[in-house]
Amino acid sequence: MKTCKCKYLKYIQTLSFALHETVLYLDGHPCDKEALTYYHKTKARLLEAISEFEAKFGPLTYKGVCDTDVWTWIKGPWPWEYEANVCEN
Amino acid sequence: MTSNNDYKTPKDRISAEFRNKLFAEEDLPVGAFFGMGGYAPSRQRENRGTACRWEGSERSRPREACETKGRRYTESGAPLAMVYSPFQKFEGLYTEEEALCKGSLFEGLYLPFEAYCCGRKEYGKMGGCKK
Repeated sequence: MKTCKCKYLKYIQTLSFALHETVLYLDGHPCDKEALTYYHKTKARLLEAISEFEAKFGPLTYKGVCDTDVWTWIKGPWPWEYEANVCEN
Repeated sequence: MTSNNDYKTPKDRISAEFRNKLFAEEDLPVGAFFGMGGYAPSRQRENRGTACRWEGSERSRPREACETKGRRYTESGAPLAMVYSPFQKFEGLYTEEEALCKGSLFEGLYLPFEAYCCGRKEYGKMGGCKK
């Protein structure tokens, strides 16, 4: 389903936004069970999506670098290399 | 928290019944009443702004100095508009995709500014989710 890099990134962005909204809600409603459940569910999906992304395309942020031999963060296109970062379809 | 805000759309928010419930409720977010006129639950009265006429020091100002039956006035004597914020519930969630597009996870918080620029329709609608 999510084959290209930017579709993955969009997916991660949507989950991050939903999670952030839930966090803001929980700040004001710390005992809301339903919101807490939603938080844990969304967080698990986000972390899964990030690890899936990193397995395919390398680190999403510098915190995602796992390789102990090479600094993989500089592999792949830079953000300003537009053509390399957009979807083909 | 027992306040019940079972409105369906933003327009239904200020029903008389809900307003009465709201102002009978003690446990409201304090921020909703900061420095404002109108009615405020007693607990908030102690922490709110000081925009009222009192010649002495702030410390010496009796709590009742600027109040008349719970109503509060500005320095000019005019009552300010009554403002409040209903206690949000975890309901009416958009899907994640929709939430990102609309800028909120909650249906109740999607209030796009829909205006036509310069009164000319060809400029199109401003604000809101374009999808």
